[in-house]
Amino acid sequence: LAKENKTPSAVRGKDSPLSTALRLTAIVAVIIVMLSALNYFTKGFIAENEQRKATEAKESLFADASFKELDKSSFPLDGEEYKDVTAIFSVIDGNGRTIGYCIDMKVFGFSSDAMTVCFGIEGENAAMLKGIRIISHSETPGIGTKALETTGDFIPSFTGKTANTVNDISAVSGATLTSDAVKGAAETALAAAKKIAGGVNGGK
Amino acid sequence: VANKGKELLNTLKNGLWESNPVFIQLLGLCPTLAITTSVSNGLGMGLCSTFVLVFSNFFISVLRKFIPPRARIASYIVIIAGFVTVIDLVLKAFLYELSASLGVFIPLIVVNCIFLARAESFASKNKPFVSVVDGFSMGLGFTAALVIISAIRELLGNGTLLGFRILPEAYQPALILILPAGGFLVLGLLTALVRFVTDKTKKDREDTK
Repeated sequence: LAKENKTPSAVRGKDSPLSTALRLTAIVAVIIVMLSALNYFTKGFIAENEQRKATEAKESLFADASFKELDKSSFPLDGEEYKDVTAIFSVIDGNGRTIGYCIDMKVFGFSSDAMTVCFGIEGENAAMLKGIRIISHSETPGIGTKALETTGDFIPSFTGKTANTVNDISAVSGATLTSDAVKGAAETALAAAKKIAGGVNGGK
Repeated sequence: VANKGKELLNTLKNGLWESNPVFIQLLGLCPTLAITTSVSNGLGMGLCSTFVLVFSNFFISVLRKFIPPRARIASYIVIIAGFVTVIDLVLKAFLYELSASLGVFIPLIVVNCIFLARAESFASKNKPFVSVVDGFSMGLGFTAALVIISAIRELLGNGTLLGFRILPEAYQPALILILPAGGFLVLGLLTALVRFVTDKTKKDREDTK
């Protein structure tokens, strides 16, 4: 087969392997330069957007509070069940007191892409859910998303639940996988918050 | 000049109706079926694709004498992937909400066969300007098809259009239309309808002759 193609023009001309390789390399190089420049230009905006979305979620849970990110590795959270905890924030009120925690978690519902959910936890020893917010998700529109509506029945029902009562929340029919995943994550977040509060208060 | 204008008009009409990428050529069905669950997704995907089509057609046409014939598919893919990445970054930076809802489908534009098909069958054989018109018209045809399919699916499957409630609360949405199966049903019925109309107009034209 190679013999058939080896006409003189194919070896030396526009069709030669060397020319083909050089031309393809040139095209790739131009695209790379273009994308690097654009990436450099948009990097800041993208990080800002992601940050803003996450901050908005926290602010809608705890009004008039400030948030300080805590280092996950400084708490006893290296167990397998806590591997989806992505970020921990302490919630600080106007007087500088810690009034709760926000725990961001990856939650695997129906979609293979994890949702990012922010769990706001308050109360003595951080045992009660203040509320939860969905930061990002790719659940099926109209099906899984029924469980994720902030105005629906499911998401608001987390407010005031503790580790013992979180299981009383009933899953949204038709969105069982999504609901159960969020419920499971809420339990994990509560357990993690307990350990974090324990760690911060010196193991009280 | 008149001929050229006519040619442009034909190219424009071609993508919208006569060789509509979705209903006639049946190209790019993966994104068509996957994202047409809501009108905003359909519109977003369609417009992003149009942008990429216009630019990839333009550059492939400009470079048509430079692109090595034996590695042309690889060259097309690199150029298309480059512009898809441009879209992805720009959406993430300036239209974050849309990028969140289109999610994984943006990178998948790369493997949408519409782009390769237009590059191979049109842009690589025609001058830049008419290639841009072809990309634009194919893009609009694709967008129109996505919007029609997603409007039917969103309205009957969720009772809303562009997120606004149209059908009364009492209407029990036909969830199957939002599910993948519904995508196939709507696409199949619409394709049949378009085929029926084109066949009929063709026949009428022949009859009047």
